[in-house]
Amino acid sequence: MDRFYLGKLVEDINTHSARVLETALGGHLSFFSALDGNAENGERHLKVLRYLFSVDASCPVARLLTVRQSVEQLCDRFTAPDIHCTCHFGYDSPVPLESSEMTLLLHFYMLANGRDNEPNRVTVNALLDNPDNQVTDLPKWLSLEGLSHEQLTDEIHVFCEHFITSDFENLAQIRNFETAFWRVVNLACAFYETEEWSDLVAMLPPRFHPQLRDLPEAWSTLRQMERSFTEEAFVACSRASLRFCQQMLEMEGSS
Amino acid sequence: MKQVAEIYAELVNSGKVAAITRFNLRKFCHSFGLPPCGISFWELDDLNWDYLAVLNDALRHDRFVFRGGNFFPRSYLNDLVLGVGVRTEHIFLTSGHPQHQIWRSFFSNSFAEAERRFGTRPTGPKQDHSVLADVFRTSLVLDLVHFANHRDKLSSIADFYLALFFLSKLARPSGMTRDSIFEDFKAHHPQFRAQIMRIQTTIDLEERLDDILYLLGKLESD
Repeated sequence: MDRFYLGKLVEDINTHSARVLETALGGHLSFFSALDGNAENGERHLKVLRYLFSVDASCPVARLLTVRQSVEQLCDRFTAPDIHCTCHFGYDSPVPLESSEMTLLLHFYMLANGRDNEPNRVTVNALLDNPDNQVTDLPKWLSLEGLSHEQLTDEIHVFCEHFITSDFENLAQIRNFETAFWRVVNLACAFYETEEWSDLVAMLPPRFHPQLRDLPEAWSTLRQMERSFTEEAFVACSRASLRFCQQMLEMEGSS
Repeated sequence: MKQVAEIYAELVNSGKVAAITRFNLRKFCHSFGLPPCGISFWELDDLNWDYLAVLNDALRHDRFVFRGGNFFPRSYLNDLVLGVGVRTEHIFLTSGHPQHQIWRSFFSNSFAEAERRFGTRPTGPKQDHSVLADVFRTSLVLDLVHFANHRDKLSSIADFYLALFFLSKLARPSGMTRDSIFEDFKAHHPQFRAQIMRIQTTIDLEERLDDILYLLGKLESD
C-alpha cells in the first residue's frame, strides 16, 4: 500500500475511533487520545495503533458494554480484502493469521484517572505539538500516567513471557515477534538515548556481541523466508532476543 | 500425570531455576465457580530460557497451559470464557522488576495458606499494595468491555476482581473464599456494609455491576 494512502487510512481510523467511543460512552468519555499517528509501509505489514481513553466513575455499565460491539463494527468497516482490522482492550491478544496484506491492530488503553483529566490533557497536548517527543518521551509519559512502573522493563517482560508461552508455528507469529522485538529495541534506544542497534549492543558485555550484532537482520531474514524457515534459525533468533532482553533487565537493575 | 509441584521441585533441584514460589488458587477460584489456577514466581539465574519452551511442550499433554504473569487475571479469564478446559499456571519471571515484587508481596500477604516455596531465596520486603487497587479497578472496567459479548460470565469476573480489590486494601489474609473475604471487608469497613450487602443480593446483572463499580469508585476516593 502506498505510504500516502496508509497515512490517510490511519488518520481516518483515528478520527472514527474517537467518534465511536464518544457515541458509545456519551458524556462519560472524559479523555481520548490517539498515540500513534505515523504509518509505515511494507509487505504484509502489521500496524499497531494505540489509543488512550478514560471514563468517569459515574459511567453506567450499560454504556461500557456497548463499546466493544461499536469498535468491532468499526473494524468491520475498515476490513477489506487486503486489510484486516482488529481491536484489543488493555492487552494484546494473539493476532489470527490472515491472508490480508496488512493487519491493523487497534489497541485501547485506559487511564486510571477518570475524574481529573486536566493534567492528562496538558501532557498529551505538549507531546502532540512536538512529533519528536512522541517517540522518545513515550515510556516516561506512560509511566507518569500510571499505566506501568517502568515501560521499558514492562515491555521486555511482556515480550519474554509472550514469547515463551506461545507456540512457534506460523509466519504471523514471526511477524508479531519481530514487531514486538522492535518495540523493545525502540524503547531501549529511547531509554538509553542511543540511536542505533549497534550502540545498544556496544553497551552489553563483549561476550554477547557476536550473536547479537546481526540480530535485526536475522529477524528480517527469518520473516522473508516465509514458510521455509528452519527451526534452528528460529531458535537462534529467539534465544538471542531473550538474551538481549535479560541483559537489558540486568543493566536496569545495576544503574 | 505429573503434578505441578513435582515439576517445580525437579526444576529447582536440577538448578535450572534458582527458586520458585507458588500459590495454589484452587480454593479461591472455586469459591467463584471458576476453574483452578496457579500463580508462580520464578527466580532465574542463567540466560538459557530454552528449557521453558521445552517444558511448555511437555506440559501440553498434561492439560496445563503456562501463561505470562503480566497478563493475569486477563489471560486466566480468557481461558475461562473461551472454555478451553485447561488448568492455567501463570508465571512471573522475576528479575527484581518492581511490579513483580508488588504482585509477589500481594500474593504472599493475601494467600499465605496457599503458598509453597521450592528452593530457598530470601523474599523481598513487604510492599504497599494500594497501587494494585487502582490496577484492579481499571482492569475490571477494561475487562467488562473486553468480555461484553459473554454476559453470562460478567458477574463472576466482576466478583473475582472485587475480591482481589478488597484483598489489596486489607493487605492481609482473609481466608481463601469469596464469602470470607467479603465478610472480612464488611467487618473492617462498616460504612460500606449496606453497599456490599446490596451487591451480594442483587440479581439483575447491569444493576449489580453498576453497584460494584460505584463501590470501587467510592473506595478509591475514600
